[in-house]
Amino acid sequence: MYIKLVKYRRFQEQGGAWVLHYPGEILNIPNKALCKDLIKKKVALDMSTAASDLPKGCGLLMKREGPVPPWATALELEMAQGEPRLPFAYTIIWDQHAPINAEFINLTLSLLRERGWDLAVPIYSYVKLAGRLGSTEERKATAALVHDLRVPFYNTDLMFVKRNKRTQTLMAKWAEERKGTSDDKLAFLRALYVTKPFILPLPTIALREH
Amino acid sequence: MAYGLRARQETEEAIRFLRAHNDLPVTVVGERVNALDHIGFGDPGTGRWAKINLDLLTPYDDTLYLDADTRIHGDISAGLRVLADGWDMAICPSTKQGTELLWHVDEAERKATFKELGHDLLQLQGGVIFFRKSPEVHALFQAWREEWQRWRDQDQAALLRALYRCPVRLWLLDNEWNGGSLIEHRYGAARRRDE
Repeated sequence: MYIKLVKYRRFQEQGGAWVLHYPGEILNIPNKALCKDLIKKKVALDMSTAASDLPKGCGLLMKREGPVPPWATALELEMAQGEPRLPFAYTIIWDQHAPINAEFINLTLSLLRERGWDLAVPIYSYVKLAGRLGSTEERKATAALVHDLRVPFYNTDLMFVKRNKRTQTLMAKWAEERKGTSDDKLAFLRALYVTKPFILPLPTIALREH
Repeated sequence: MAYGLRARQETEEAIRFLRAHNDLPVTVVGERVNALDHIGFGDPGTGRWAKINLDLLTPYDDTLYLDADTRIHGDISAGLRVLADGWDMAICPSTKQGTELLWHVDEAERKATFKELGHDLLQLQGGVIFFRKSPEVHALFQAWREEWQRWRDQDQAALLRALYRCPVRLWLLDNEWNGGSLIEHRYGAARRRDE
C-alpha cells in the first residue's frame, strides 16, 4: 500500500536495518494494518487516490535506466526513458541521481493543468551563476544571447512540462543546443531565452538533499 | 516612488547614482523631486499601492522600477535588452528562501499564501523590476492589485499569489541586480518614520 509521510518515521527494512524516512516521501508498505495505523495517527497520508488528482496523461521520463520509483507507481504514471522529450501530455523529466521532493509532484502538475504555465523547473542554486558554467566559448556564446550571465540557471535534472507548441519548440531547440556542448544546463538557458515559454521557477528544495 | 521626506531624499540620491552610469529618462511617482518628470498619484500608505499600479502609471513601454533606496553602480542596459528581446519581466529571487520565506509578511497572510499555493515557493524581490507593457503583464498587475487588497500590507506575497494565477514570460536575474555590487539596496532607508 502506498502512503506519503507527513512526519519523520523509521522503518525496518529487509535485512533488519532501521532507516529514517522523511516527510513528503512516498513509500510502498506491504503491511496494510501498519499503513492504516499511520494514517489514523496522521503520520502519513493515503496515496491510493492521489493518482486521480493528477491531470490526464501524466508520465515520467527517466533520463537513465533504472527501477521505477515508488512515487511513480503510487501516482500511476506512464513511464519512458531516454533523452529529454515530451512523450506525454504532462511529462516529468527526471535524472535519477537527483533526489526528488515528492511534495512538489501533484501540486506542480495540477498547477500546469489549471494555469497558463508551460513548465516548472527548480533553479539550481541561489549563489552559483550561469557565468560559472561551461567552457569559455559556451559562456561567450550564451552571454552574446542573454546579454548578462549574472543570472541563476535551471536544474534540468527535474522538469515538469506540459506538452504544447511552445514546449515542443523549446525541447527541439535544447536538443540542438546540446550538440557539441559540455554543459546541458547552459544549453537549456540558451534554448529557453530564444523560445520564451511561460516558465515557473521552483525553489531549489524541489530536489531534496538527504 | 517618493512619498515622504526620506523617500524624496533617497530618490534624489538613487537618480544621481543611476545617471552616473546610464542615460535613461526618469519619472518619479508620488511627490515631486526637484525638476524631474513626475506623476502625481495619491497613496494613503507607504507607496505600495502606487507600485502595484505601475503598469498603468508608467509612461514607458519598457520600464525599470527601482525602490528609492537602491544605488546603481554600473550599466544596467542588459535588463532592458531582455525586455526588448520579448521577455515580459526580469526580476531577482529574494535572498530569503526556505525557512526564511516571506519572513516579513504578516503571519495570517503568510499562512494563507502557503495554503493557497500549496508548496514552498521561490520568493521574488520586488525592489528592482524590469517589465514591459504586454497583455500578460497587465493581467499580472491587475491580479497583484486584487491580491494586495486582501491584507493591504507587504506586496511580495501578493505578487506570488498573482504570479501563480497569471503567468508572464519571466527572466530571472541574480542578486547582483538587487542587493549586490551592480545594484545596491539599502533596505528600509526610504520608509516614512511612522511605519
